Amino acid sequence: MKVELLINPFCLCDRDYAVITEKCHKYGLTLTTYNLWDIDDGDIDTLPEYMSGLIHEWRNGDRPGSVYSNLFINGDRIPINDWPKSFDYIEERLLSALEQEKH
Amino acid sequence: MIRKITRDMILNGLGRPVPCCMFDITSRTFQCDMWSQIFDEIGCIGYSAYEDDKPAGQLIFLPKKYARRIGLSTCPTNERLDTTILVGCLAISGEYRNKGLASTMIRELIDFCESAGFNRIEVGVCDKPAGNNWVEQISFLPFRKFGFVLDETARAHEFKPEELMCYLNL
Repeated sequence: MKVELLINPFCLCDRDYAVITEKCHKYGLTLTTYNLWDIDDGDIDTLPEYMSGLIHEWRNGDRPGSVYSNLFINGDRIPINDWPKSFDYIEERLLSALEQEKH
Repeated sequence: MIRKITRDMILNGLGRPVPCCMFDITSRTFQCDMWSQIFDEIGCIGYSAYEDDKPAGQLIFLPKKYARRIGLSTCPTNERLDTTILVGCLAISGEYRNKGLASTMIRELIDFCESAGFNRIEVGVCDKPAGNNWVEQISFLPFRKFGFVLDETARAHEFKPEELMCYLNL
């Protein structure tokens, strides 16, 4: 199962990272992080397509942005834009993905 | 009183609890490099406001090229990324509102931009007074006083369609 955090480093990311890390630890999952600050334009297309498309749109100014980080569970995007409810939703989605993996 | 945010504040926080994730946290893994690099490049990232030596508010900004880099909203029609500043946060704690703190910080920002070679300021705003949440929305009202105009075509937030970009050309 793939759990990836695309970090927006403006203000909330360390809080988000701490909570998501704890949840991943709880379920024995590996969390991969990507920090928007560290991603050079030339490297965007080396990222998974569901992430690279978003980043291109933000950087071109084609998509309105935000200060929020985004979690991807098996490629599905979950913006962390409703604190703290987003974390409950993320936990539900993690459990659901784990359940699906069992079958 | 308005103080310029220092490099030490970026690295170590304000040393006291404030209702903002940027300065009250003790463990920072991801932000520090960005803000210290921006500080070193342009010499300022914002201001803190104080009343009776207590943190009362803040205004945080960064060059548009970096705002785009980390996925913040900006005006899509202005591609002068190197000479435009984006305000990412303007917050005044409820008990300290209507004392001119926001206006003082905006005035400082305009002065900084003029002296540092930036010729435009952009801000994502809602067209109503700031809500109770300390940092959630930036009100257009204090910016309007300085001649900022709304860009009706530019959404300022992916998840809040009511927010628009506003700008001031210097």
